[in-house]
Amino acid sequence: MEILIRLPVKSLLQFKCVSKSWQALISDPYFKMKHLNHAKNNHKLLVCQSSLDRGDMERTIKFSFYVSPLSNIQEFGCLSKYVQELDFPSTYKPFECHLFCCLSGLAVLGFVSKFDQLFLWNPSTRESTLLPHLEFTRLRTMFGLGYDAMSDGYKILKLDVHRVDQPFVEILSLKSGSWRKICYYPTAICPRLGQKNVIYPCQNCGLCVDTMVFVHGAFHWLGKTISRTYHLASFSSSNEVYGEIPLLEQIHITNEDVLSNYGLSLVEEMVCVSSTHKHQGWGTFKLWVMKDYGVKESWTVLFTIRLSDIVYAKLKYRFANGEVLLYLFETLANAPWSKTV
Amino acid sequence: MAEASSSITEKFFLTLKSSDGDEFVLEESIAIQSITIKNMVEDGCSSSVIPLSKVDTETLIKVIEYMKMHSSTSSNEEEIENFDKKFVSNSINTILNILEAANFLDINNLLELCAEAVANRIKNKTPEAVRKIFNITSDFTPEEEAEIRNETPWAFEGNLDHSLD
Repeated sequence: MEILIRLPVKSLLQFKCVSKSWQALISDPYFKMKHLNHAKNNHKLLVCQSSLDRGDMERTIKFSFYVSPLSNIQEFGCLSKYVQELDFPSTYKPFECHLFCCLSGLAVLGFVSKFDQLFLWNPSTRESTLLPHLEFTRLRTMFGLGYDAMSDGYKILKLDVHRVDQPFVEILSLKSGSWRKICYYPTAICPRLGQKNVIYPCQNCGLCVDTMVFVHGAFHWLGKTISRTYHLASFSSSNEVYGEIPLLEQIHITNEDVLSNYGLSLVEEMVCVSSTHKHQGWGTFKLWVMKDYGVKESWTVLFTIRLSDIVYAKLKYRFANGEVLLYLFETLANAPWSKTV
Repeated sequence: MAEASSSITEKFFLTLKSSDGDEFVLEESIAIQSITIKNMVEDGCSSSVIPLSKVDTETLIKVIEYMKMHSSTSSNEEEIENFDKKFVSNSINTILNILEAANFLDINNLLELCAEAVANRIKNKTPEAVRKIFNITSDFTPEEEAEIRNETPWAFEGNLDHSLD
């Protein structure tokens, strides 16, 4: 067992045919859990690429998925050597393809063609499951994948902003197999008026919503109220209650001349906020990390970058040598970019 | 006077006996990297020879070599790293024996080192080669085996290694 939990999934699928006892061990849920725990620190990057496919009859957009290990690699520069293309998880070609969220080697994918389809995909075993039907729009819908230790199952949370005062919250427990509406919303008390305002997911570049992260048994996302206050909201996966993680006032700027975008990610299980402020042609990117979960005073700036053409940037991964992988939204293109700190 | 005597650390020695009957004398501070031996020392069963009925001489020599290198006082990090690299280049059967001994003696970092090494060596091998290495006879009928192969045919693709080491 000590040997087998260290093997890649591909080898394990092969070794199922070594003998009946090996097959039983490899298929055992306890073994799978041990294998997952061992692989927890082997972070990988999953990328969805869209490219123009010039077919005979018509031009279509082709989507491809690539995976690359991150944790055994010391720096960003040598990443391309390890990149591997994955089989497309569906047999038919969608018009749009979205990678919504990932957790424990699983990904939630959204395909748009004649109708919307939502998949849960395990790229390592190449298994995918069609999730119960649900409408979504990429720019307004936020998905989070979480694990509920109490019911020992995964849950998917969906936040949709149709109207600012009334976000749409639904949750799917994979065990139950159906979406359930949650009729209450996270709120914050407006400091000036003393009234309760709904926190809705904030949109970046006025375009698309940010992503959710799952940590400490709860979904987390950055939200805003109509009185323009920013909040880090949480929703616990087991008892399904909202909470709020305190942000430091310096993280968000409410100056109207400054174009601000925020992104939430995790670095070594710590919540971190990437903030980009654009003011008079200059962009300032700051990475804030909350060192002790829930402790307001523990927010610290990891680093600051000043760049002219940066509009929105977000941390994806921090390598062992301190180099970081950022997702950049520039005026021209999206590109991973790195900087040593 | 009391101070002077306590500053000299007294060295205790243990005698380990392999399943082949060979005896090895080892400093206690080095031997207690094995939790099994440490527990025996704490329970006071170490005054005489410690019999290790599950570890043969060849394996015990390797385990002692490892423990000497990894004892906190004698070696630096680079030396240890080079030693470990060389250590896992032993034949796969030797490593499997050491792994079993490490499991019995409860030496966690040796167990991890060997498990990692074996996993690296077998990950690209065919199921047939793995059976031979672990001395396993397949209890599947050809039909049952074909069925498993058909579940995930892609897992059986690519360059597979048939060698046994």
